[in-house]
Amino acid sequence: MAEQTLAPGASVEESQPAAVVEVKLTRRSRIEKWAFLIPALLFQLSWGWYPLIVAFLLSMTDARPRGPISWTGFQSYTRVWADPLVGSAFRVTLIYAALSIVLTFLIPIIVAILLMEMKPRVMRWMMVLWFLPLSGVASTIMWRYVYNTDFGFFQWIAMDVLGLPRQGFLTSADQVLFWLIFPGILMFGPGLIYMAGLQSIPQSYYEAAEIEGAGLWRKIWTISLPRLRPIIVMMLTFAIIGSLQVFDWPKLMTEGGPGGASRTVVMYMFDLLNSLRYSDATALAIFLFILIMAITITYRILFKEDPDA
Amino acid sequence: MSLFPKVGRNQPGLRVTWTLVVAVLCFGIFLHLIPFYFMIVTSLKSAPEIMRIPPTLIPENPTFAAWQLVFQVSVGSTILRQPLSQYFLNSCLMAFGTLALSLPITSFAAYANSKLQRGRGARWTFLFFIGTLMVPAAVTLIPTFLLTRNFPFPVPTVPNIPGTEIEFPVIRTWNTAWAVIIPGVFSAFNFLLFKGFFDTIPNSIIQAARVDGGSEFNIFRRIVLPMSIPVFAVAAYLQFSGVWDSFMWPLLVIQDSARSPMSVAIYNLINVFMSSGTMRPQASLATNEQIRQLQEAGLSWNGLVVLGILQTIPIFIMFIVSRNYLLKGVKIRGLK
Amino acid sequence: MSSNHAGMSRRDFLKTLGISGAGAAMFAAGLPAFASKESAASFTPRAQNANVTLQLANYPYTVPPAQAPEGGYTAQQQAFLAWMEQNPNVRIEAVEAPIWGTGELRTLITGGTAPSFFHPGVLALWTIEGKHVVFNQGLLADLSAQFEEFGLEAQFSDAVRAAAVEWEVGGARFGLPEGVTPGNGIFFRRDIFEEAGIEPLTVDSTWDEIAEKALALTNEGRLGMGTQWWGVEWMLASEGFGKAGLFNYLPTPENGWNWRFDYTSNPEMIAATERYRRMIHQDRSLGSNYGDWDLLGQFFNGTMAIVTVPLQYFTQTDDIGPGALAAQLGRPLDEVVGAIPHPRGSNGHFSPEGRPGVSVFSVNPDYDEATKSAAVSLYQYMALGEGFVTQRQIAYEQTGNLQRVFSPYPFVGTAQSIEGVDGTPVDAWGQQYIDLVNYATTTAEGYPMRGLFFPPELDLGPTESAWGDATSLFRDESGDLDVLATYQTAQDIRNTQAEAFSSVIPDDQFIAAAQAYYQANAEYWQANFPDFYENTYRPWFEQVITPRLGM
Repeated sequence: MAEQTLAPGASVEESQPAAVVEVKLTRRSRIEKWAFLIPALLFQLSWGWYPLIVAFLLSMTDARPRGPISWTGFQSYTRVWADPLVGSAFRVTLIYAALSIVLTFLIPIIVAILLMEMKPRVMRWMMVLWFLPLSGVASTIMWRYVYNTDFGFFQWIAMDVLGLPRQGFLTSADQVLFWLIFPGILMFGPGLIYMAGLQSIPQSYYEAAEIEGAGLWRKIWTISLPRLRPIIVMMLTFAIIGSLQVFDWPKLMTEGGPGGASRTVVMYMFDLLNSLRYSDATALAIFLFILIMAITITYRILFKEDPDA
Repeated sequence: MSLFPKVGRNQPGLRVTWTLVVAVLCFGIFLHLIPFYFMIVTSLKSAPEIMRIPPTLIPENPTFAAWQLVFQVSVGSTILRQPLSQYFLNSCLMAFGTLALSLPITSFAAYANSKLQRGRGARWTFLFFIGTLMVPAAVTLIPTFLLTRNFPFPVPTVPNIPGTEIEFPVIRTWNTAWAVIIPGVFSAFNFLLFKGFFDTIPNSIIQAARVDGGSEFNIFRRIVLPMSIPVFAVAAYLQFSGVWDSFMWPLLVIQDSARSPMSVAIYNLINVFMSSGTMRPQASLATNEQIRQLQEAGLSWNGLVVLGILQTIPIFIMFIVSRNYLLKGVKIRGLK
Repeated sequence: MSSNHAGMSRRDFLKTLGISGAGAAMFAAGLPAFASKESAASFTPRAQNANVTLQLANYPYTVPPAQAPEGGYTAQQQAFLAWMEQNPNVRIEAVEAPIWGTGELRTLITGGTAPSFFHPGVLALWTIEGKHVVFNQGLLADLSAQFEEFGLEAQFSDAVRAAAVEWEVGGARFGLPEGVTPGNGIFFRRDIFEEAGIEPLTVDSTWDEIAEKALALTNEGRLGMGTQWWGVEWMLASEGFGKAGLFNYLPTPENGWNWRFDYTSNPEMIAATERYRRMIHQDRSLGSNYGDWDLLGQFFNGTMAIVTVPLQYFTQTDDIGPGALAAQLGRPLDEVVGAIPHPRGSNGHFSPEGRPGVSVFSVNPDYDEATKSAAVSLYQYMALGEGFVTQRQIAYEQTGNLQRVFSPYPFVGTAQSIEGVDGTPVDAWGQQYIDLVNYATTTAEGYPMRGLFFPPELDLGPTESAWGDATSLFRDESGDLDVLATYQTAQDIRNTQAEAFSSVIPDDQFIAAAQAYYQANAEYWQANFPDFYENTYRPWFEQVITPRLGM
C-alpha cells in the first residue's frame, strides 16, 4: 500500500549533502507555503476578523440601529464592568468550563479507543449507533423530561430506587451546573475525530509492544494516547474555547436559573442584545475574548506541540 | 483489534475486561438510542396523547396521521412555499458548495501551519486562524450581515467615490447561496481538526519526499492526502451537518423562498411552535395567529417531530457515507 | 422566485380559484359582490396610484401561493387575493425572514431588509415601555398619517381604544392592532370542580381562595393548578406588584436614570410570594414551569384543573381548545370550562393584567408614505374591513360552525356580528365569556397606564435578568429561602445597573409627567376602587411618592 501512495522512486538520494537540500527546499517551499496559506488568510481576514473589528468599533459608539451613531468611547465597557451580573456570569462560565472539561473531555477518547477494539463488522455498527446524528430538539425535550422534578426518570431513580429524599436536579442552584454537564458525559462527544486519528496508528506498534509483554493499559498509555496527542491538544483547545462560550444548552434547559446559577457570559450577552444594547453586548464579548485568548495562550505555552511529531 | 492480544484471549482476567468493555459500549449505545425511540414514538402519537404527563412509552393508538400530514403539507400549501425538492436542492447546493471550497482551503492552511511554518510565525498564524472562534458569533452577526449586502462596506448604503456621483464597486452576495457559502469557507474548527491530524504525521515522511524534489503541493496530494482520508471524512461530515442544520444565518441572508434551504422551511415551523407560550402573554397573543395557521393545517408536536426526522435523514446518509471513508485509514506509517 | 400576483389578470385569478375546488367556486361566485362594494369603500388609498412592494414573512397574513394549494386557499388567503385584485399596483412578495428573534430582526432593520410587518414586542422585551423606546429609536414606522388617512381609530372596538398605549406614544401611532384579549385570567374545569364537590370560581375569587381550591383538587394524577414559568407575577400583579409594578417602580428625577426599584418595602409582596412558594413546594398543588400551549394541553387532558392564560384562548378552535374539550366530553361549553378575569388583590387592587391586551404589528421604518399607505390599506381590509367579513363568511359556509366565525374573539373592529352568519358571539361561546369581555373593557376604562404619561426613553434601562433570577429561585428552590433577602438582591442589582443609564427626558418634563400620572391614578382608583384608594393607594402615595416628586 505504501508503494502505491508514495511517489515512485521516492527514496532518499544519498549523494546529496543534507545541508544543501535544506536550503534549496526552504527557498522553494516559501512560495508554496504562502500559496497554501493565502486563500485561507484572505477569507479569515475579510469574513472573520473584519466583521469583528467593525463590531469592536461599534462597541465604542451607542450603535443605534438607525440614524446617526455617536461616539461614546469606553462607556459601554465601564457600564458592563460595573454590572453586578457580569461578575457572576464569569464565575458560572469558568466553573462550567472547568467542570465540563474534567468530566467530559476524556470519555470520547476512551470510547473511540475501545470501539476500535471491536471486530470490524461489529465496530461499523456500534459506531453508527454511538454517533448517530441527534436532533437537538428531541434531545432537549427528552432531557427536560428526564430531569423533571415531579415525574422525571431521575427523580424516580433517586426516590424509589435509591430511597433518597427529593432531589432538585436542574432546579437546585448548587447542582444545576453538574446536571447540565451530565448528559455530555456519554453523549455529544467528538469521538469520531479520535477514531479518525486512531486509524493512522500502525498495527506494528501494538505488535511490538505485545512482544515486549505490554498489557492493555500500557498500550493505551504508551501508544494510543501519545500518537493521538496532537489531535487531543487541538480538541482540548477547542473544548476550552467552546465551553467558555456555552449558551444554547443551558439556555434551553434552564434559562439561566435558578437564580442565575447557570447563566453564562454568552447568555448574559444575549440578555443585553435582547435589550437592544448592542454595544454593551459587544463590550462584554470583548472581555470574554480577552479571557479566552489569555487562557488559550497560557495553555499553548504549557502544552507545546510534540516536538518530535 | 490492537489492544487486546491476539493470543490468550481466553484468560479469565482478559475476558472479564473484554465483557466489561462490551457492556459499557452497549450501555452507551442504549442511551443514545433513547432520543431516537422517543422521536419515532412521538411521531406516531395523536395530539392529545403527546400532552400526556408522564409520556406514554408505547403509543396507545399508533397512527401515521402525522407522517401523512407532513407529506400532504409538503405537496403544496401555504406552509411550505416551494416543493420539498426545491428546498432540498438548495440545501445541497449550499452544503456541497461550502465543502468544495472549504475543505481544500482550510486543509491547505492547516497543512502549511503544521508542516511549513515554524516558530513564532506559526504561533501567530495559528492564533490568527482560531482567534475568531473566541468571540460569540452573535456579536459579529450585524457586521457580517452588512458585508453580504455591500462587501467591503459594513453599512447599509454604499458611499460614493469621493468627488463623484458614482458608488464604489461592491460585491453583493445577499439573497444568494454565496451569502451562506462564503462566510463558511474558512472553518476555524476544521482548521483545528486538520492541524491536529497533520501534526501526527511524522516530519520524516515529508522530509523524505522533499529530498526527492517533490513540490509541496505534490507532497500534499500524493502523500498527505491519502493518509488523511479519515480526517477529511470527519471534517466533511461535521461541516456538512453544520451547514445542513444551520437556519438562522440562511434565514437572515436569503429572503427568497425559492433559494431557501430545507432547514429554513422546517425550522421556521418548529421555531414558531416552540417559541409559543414560552414568552409573555403579549408574545403568545402575537404568535397565536401563527399557530392557528399551523393548527388549521393539523400540525402539532407529532408533525414537527416528523419534520425533525426528515431534516436529520440527509445528515444520517452523509454520516454513513463518511463512515466508510473514515474506516479506510491507511496504515502507512509503519513503513519507515 | 417570490410569488407575485400583481400582474395577475382577473381571468387568471378566477382560473387559479377554479383549480382550488369547492371553497373557491363559492368564493368566485361572491366576487361581483366585492366589485360593487369597491365604490362603497370610504377611502381611496394612495397606494392605488403608486407602484409599491410589500414583503410578508408569513406574518401577519400568509401570502396566497400563485398555485392554489390542494385543499384550496384558506379563507384568509381568499380575502387577501381579493385585496390584491383591488390594488393591482401593489406588488406582494412572500419572503423568508427571521422576524421572531430580537437580534435577527434588529439585524434586518439595520441592513434595511426587514419585511413589511413585524411585531414590535420582539424588539422590546414584550413590554409597552419597550415598544415606546423602540419607536423612539426609529425602528418602527410612524403611521400617524395613515391612521388619519384611513380613519382607523373610529373603526376600533372599545377594548382596542381602551388599550391605546399599546399602539400610540406621544400622539404618534406605531402599531396596527391585530388581536385583543379581554385581559389575562383563569380557566377552570367546571366538570372537575363539580365532581370534587367544590364551588366554582367567581369574579370575586381571591388568590387565597384559589390556592385552597387548587389544593383540594390535587390528587395522584392531577395538579390543582398550572401556571407559566413566570407564574409568581400573576399573583404579584393582582396586588400592584411586579418587576415594574405600581408600588415597585419609583420615580427619582434627581438621578440620571429616572426610576429606581423597590422590592422590599411591601410585606404584602412577600406574603404573596410565600403563598406561591407554598403552593409549589409544600402543597404541591401548583405546577409553574409551563408554556401556554402545555397548559392548554394539560387542561384538555384533565391533568390540571385550573390554568392561567390570556382569556382570548377561550376562543381557540384547534384540537385542544375549550371548544374541542366540550365537544369531546359531549357537554355544553359553559358546563365544562369556566373562565374568570385576573383576580383582584387582597387590597382590592385591580391588576393591569386584567385590562384588555392588544397585540399589534408594526411596519418597516424604511417605507415612504405611499408604501406605508399600501401596508395600512392591507391591514384595514384584512382586520377591519371587507376582508375581515368575507373571511368569516367563508369559514361559516365551509364549516357551519359559529365558533370558527367568532375566533379569535373579541374582534379588533367595531363589528360584533357578521352579515350572512346566523348567530352571535354568545351563541358561539356562551354568556360567561361575553361577560368577561365586557368586564375587562368597562373596568379598564381610564386605567392609567404609565406609558401614556411619560415620553419615551432612548434606552430600555437595566436588563430584567436580576428580576428573573429572583422569580426563578422562588419557583425552583424547594428548600428554605429567604424571600425578603432574594428580593433585596434583585433590587440592589437593578438599582446598581440603573446608575449606568441616563434619561433623555428633561427633569421638569419628567416631574410634570409623573405628577399627571399619579394624579390620574388617584382619580381612577377613587372612582372605581375606593377601598383600595383609601386604605392602600393614598397612604403609599403620601409617604413614598410625594417626597420624591417634591409635590
